[in-house]
Amino acid sequence: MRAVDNVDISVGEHEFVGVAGESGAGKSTLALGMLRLLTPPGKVVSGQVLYRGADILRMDQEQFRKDYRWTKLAMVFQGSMNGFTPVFTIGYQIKEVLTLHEKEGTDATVRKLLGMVNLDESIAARYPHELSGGQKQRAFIAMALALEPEVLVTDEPTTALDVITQVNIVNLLKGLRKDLGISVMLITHDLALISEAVERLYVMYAGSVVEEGSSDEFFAKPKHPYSQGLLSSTPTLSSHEIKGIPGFLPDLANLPPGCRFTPRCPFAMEVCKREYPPFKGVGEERVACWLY
Amino acid sequence: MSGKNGYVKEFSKSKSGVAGAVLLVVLLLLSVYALTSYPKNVAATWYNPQAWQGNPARAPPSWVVYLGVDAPPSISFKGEPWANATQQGTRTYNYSESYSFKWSSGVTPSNVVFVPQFKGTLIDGVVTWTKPDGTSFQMYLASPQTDNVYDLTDQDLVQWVHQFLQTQTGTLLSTVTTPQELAALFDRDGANVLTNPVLKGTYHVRIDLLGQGPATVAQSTSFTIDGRSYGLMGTDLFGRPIQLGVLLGLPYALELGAVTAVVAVIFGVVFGGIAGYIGGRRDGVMQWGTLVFLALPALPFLVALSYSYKLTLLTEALLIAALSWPTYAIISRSVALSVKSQTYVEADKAMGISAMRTFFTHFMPRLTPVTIAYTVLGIPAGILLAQTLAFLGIQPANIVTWGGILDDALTQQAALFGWWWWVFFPGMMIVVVAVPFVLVGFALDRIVAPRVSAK
Amino acid sequence: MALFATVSILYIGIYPALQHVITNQANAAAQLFQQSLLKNSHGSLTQAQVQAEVAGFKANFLSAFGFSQPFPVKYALQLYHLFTFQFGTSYFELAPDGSNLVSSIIVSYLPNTITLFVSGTLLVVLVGTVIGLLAARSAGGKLDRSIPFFAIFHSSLPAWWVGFLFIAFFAYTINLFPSGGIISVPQPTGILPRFGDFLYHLTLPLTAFFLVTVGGFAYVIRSLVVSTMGEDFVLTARARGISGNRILFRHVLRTVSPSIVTQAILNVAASFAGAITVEVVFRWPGLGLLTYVSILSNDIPVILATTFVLTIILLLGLYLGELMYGILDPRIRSG
Repeated sequence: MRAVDNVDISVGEHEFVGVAGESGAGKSTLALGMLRLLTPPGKVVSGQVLYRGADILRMDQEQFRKDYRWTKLAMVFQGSMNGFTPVFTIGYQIKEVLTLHEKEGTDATVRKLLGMVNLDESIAARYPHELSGGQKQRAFIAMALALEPEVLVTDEPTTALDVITQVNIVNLLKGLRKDLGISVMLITHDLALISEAVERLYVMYAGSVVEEGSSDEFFAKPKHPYSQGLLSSTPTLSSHEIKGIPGFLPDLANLPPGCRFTPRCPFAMEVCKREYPPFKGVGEERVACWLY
Repeated sequence: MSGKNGYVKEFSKSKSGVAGAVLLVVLLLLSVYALTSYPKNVAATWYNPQAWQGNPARAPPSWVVYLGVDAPPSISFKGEPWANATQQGTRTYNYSESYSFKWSSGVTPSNVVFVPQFKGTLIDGVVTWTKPDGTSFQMYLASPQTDNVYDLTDQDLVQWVHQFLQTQTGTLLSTVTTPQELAALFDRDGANVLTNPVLKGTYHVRIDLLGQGPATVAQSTSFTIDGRSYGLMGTDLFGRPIQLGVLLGLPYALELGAVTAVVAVIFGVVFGGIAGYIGGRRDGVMQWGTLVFLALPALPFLVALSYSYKLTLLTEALLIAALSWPTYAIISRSVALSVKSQTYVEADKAMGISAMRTFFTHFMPRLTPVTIAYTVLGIPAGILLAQTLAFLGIQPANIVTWGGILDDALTQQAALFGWWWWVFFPGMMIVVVAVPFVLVGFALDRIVAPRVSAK
Repeated sequence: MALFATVSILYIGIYPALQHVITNQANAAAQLFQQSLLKNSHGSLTQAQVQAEVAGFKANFLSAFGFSQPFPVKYALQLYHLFTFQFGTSYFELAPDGSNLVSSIIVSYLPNTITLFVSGTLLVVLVGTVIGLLAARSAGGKLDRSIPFFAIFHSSLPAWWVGFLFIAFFAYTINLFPSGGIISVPQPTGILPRFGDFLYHLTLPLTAFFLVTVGGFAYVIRSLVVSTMGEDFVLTARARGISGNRILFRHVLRTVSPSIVTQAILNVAASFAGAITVEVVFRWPGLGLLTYVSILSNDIPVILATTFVLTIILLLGLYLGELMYGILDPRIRSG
């Protein structure tokens, strides 16, 4: 079963990139794969993950662990609220990350990191279960920043949080990009969230990227039928009705040969069923659709 | 994969599970055999030492000879009805029978046994014992009784052996042990008859019985030379074959294990299921009740209980069940909680179906696979506990248990004397009975568990 | 509290035997009283007077146990005696110091049971935890697959039978270890040789207990660890660059340690209940052997008392286990 297929994503320096798509589209798998965190039976079959030219998938495991994971490339998970070990304090865990990578694990550093995410230093002495969801998320981001990574991948950082906290987190991410210059990759199903923050975004469907473009271009005129469907099903202040996309995600174990969106596509053509559309430029964007 | 067929198919994929199931069938068949081939009161025979007088005692299994141990098996002659009756004087008849047997072992047999069977009265009897080298002596029986076991524990018989010893060695021994008597019968004659090697070769034994009148009919005399090994599993101190004890213990062990497990599991699962389903305060109370019973230490409590109430197989099973159900209630309750969170319970409620009906139609069937798995896994625990109680001397009357056999072994110091078969086989049987249940139970559990915890 | 409920059930179970015992003890005490009365009065009392005194004494004795009273009073009084460990006198047994007070007898045998089973459980917990952790780490690997096999032993091998076989082999066949008991005769002098002698006698029973129990414990630990390893924080720990070993032996272990400690305490308490048989086989002078000997001699007061004591120990163990879990798990501590 292929969870991720035909994906070509790039993140530039200081860029804020978004990856959108329904749950189960393969976004999380993509993220885990990038950090070499896939557990059996999952594995990377083919492809490269190039970090400044170096293929981190093929690197020696120890080298990757020491030099890249968390030091250059950090990830805030979907379940980050349970991402802290329950039996150690926040401060202990942040210090641990520092000392294990041969940096100074001092209270001052912890204080600074917590400050970056607008958390009080008293959080350091607390256990994870004593914090609210939003606090835990922010503390985790602080831990992610501890080694001053260049890229921060966030997978659904705001699900299960209330709207106000969601906005806070996104603003936090935007601020971090501005102040620290890190690149952020925001993975989410929430298009509204993406519209707030990203400069460029990718849309994934059934494991593949179907559209890519700048944020402005995309929201003005989405090209792929799926993207169009997504946008129209997102409630906005001015919308009177919400149109969903009929149908369900295809079974990833039994993928059709052609475009995978065909069964649900209002514009489906004969060719769509037979052949997989190439990913090519249309205007400023790139789309994989036979309409173009 | 759902439904019974699905389960059966998945079960057959598990090698250990299938092996366990096969072994279970074998054990069941053996139980049936045990129950049908022996009379109802066979246990009374087991506990009556007299019944085993003629058997070699403390004998290892007969197959140890293949390991090079010199432990010859018994030789027995079932008497044919005697035809040779010669008249001797008026109204007295001489009934005579001759036996010969070959002895090729370096150790003496453990006993020499005759049991005459006849009608009427016998006046006396003579046993002429001839050794391979031709020397012989005689033993006399005054007023032989029918069906009496004449062996080396019979004073009338052995006094002649003692006399023979005296004439050979020239000294009068105040007490003569059985090995010495056997030496007299089987060693080479002479002053050193007690230390001489065993005579190998053909022995001849002739029994003459003098009866009164033709009305006396000597029907037969069974004659046995008890060897030093016996059967598949040897014998204990009293000559009781261990294989018999093992076989007789099987149906009761299985029965008790099954009853205990079924009662404990069904009660526990229903109790826990209800607790999980109802929730709220009543759940809390039920949990408390479970804990109260869980805290009772099974073994000591059962020991104490046996002093207040008499134990039968059924009451023992129920008592053990009464102490075992909490474990199942705890498991069943957590399963119930996870099942409860499934939407169809809510859906039922929304549709107005009564809680009771939902409980029985949707809920309990979901618990059935778990129930079966845990019943199977629970049987060994019950069996083990019952055997442990028997080992301590606490068991229902009139049944044979492996724990009881082991209790005898301990009291008679089987370990000290090296009678390893007495210790090994009954205990091994406990394991052999427990293992297939565990195998099948584990296999079932593996099939059942993922379904329960996953959605 | 659950303590009372459990003991009450125990009480119901032993009620008939208990009444019988109390009556016998009353008679025995009355006899002694009569003797001392006769001795001290130097013949100044008539037969009738003596009888009256003795009868009065016996009545007092019995009423202290609530005998002619309604059941709730009886229950309360007798339970009071149990909880204050006033078990009266035994029928036959004597403590090493000659006392026939059941409580003294129990007190002199209890420590041996404690040493055997606490040290046994400690060993099982230490080794079992390590094995369980290693097995979980190599989930599906060779070590992991052999654990269920050893766990089966726990459900099907009686420890006392294994002990019996051990004695037959190690003590009698190859004469390497003593066949039972706790001290050699004659006892060696000096603290160190004595301790060594004690260890020498401890070896076989400890090993038998260990072999039968460790598989089951390792299996439980392994399941616990495996299910914990599926949790989110383990994934993030790997993402943070923490090494596999450190995750296992620090993060995961620390997280499951409350459960391990609870299991360990439960195991100790439970093993006491099974103490009887192992001690009997090895003639280890502990509470279990005491119970067995009392069974043989029908010394019912002792049997009832040991049952009660073992119940209390198990209850304490359960309670302590829950307490420890609460203390060790920070989630519950503050919660």
